[in-house]
Amino acid sequence: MRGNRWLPVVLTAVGVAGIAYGLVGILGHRDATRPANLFGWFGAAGVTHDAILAPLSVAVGLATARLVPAVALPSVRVGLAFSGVLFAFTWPYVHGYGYRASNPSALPLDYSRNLLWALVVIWTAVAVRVVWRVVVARR
Amino acid sequence: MNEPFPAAVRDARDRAAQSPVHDERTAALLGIALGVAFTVCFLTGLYSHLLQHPVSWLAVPSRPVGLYRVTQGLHVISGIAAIPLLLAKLWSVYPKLFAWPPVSGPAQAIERVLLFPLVCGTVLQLFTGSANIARWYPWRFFFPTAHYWVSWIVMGALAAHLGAKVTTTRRAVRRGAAGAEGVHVVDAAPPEPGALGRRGFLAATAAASALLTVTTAGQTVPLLRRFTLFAPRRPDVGSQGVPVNRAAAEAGVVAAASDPAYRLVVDGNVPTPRSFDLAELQALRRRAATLPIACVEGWSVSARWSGIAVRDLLQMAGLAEGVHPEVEVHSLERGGLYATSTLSPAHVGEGDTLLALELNGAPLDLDHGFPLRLIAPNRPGVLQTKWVTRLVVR
Repeated sequence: MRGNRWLPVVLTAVGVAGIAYGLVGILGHRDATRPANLFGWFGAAGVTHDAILAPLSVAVGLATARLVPAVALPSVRVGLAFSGVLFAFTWPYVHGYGYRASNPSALPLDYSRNLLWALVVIWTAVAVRVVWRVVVARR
Repeated sequence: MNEPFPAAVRDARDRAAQSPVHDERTAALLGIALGVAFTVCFLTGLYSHLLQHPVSWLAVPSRPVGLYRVTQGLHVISGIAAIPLLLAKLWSVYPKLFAWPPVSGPAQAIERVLLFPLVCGTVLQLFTGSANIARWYPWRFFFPTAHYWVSWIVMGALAAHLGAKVTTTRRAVRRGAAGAEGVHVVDAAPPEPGALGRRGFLAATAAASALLTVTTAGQTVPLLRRFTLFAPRRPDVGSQGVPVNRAAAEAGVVAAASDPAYRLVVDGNVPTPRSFDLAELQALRRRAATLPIACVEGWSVSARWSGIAVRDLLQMAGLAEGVHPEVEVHSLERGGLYATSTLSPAHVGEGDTLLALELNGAPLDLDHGFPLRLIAPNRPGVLQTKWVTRLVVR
């Protein structure tokens, strides 16, 4: 089909134009974008995922395969993934990096306590699911 | 060419290739969900950018009143919901990072080079966006400008990626929709004991997205307020029951705003420039309006405001009824990006565009902009200038 053959080419061209527009914008607003700093963070974002987070997840996957019985493995892995995402997302809240005493309406919650509650709920769900799987497996 | 990877990595990669979590269909489904989330983020972000950096060829409407509340709420909600989607997508395709040989031809070389801005850009955008709403700035660039320009890189890389994957995605989605062999069979019996099937993996990803959404979206969606665990704001927490973005002390206006010599000046291109002290302002005809305060950081809350319509003040300065020029609104705040804002003619002509004296039935708190603050429909919170001391008609 003609459309199918050209669509990838057109989309790639449009995409490269978008990337170029973004780069020109970054370089054209140096005072605000601080290109050296921004590109450092840009590269670090990819490296942090590919060289730290993903290998760490692989390692956790291998460790759980050894330590956790098969019947509980999927639930425990999902529980760990949820906990990891929550830890990462709530990190700046729990540490209160943005908190200022002059504006108590910003970051007003007890985020450590809330994180603890969320973890309790997640791991209770994991436990319930594992018990369920064990019961089903025994029948 | 020999593979450079150690045997353990090769084994792990080849084993992962057998799993439905890492196959074409999983990657395609997550890709579609991410494409939708990032497109929503981009369009709502672009709208927010255009409100803050108006262009002559596009008039910003003042109605619907809560439009910005919805678009910016969606911007932050879709961004947060995209975090588990992105992590799952990257996990799904991670084994391909170790493919050998890395490319099979020029077309694939272009495709893989363009993955670099895609992966770096998507991770960076979600990180900087999340950190920004938590008011955490570990970098040296100015967040709004950088976030805006990087979004073009991300959307460009996304378009190019779609171009490279459009055929694969169609095939992968059709295959599943038809219930072809190999799809549901694999789902029913994961290859390794303890491994998640595709359905389990996707369900867990959706659940993680839902968890983050439900525990944060209460900062703008009233129905979800009671589930607010991790949002940077609760819309009912703050002085006078409304959150504050920038307190008077942070803006350095405490002394100037409390000064009995305070005056509001209306000048610029008007027949009779005017100046009012606080008592005179309080004696003027009031209007009341229920308008949301909607922050770029995604929180919003509706409140009852009462004050003087900007268009009424312009008439007192001698402008004819129905004449609606552009108006600059100046704060007592010295310097800073948000010390002034510009009202478009559409906003000036709006009876609900107020210089408010009262919030929810009580005089404004200092932190909400006492003695006088701008509140107008369909407008980002950062442009609702506080501690207003001067209107300059253009």
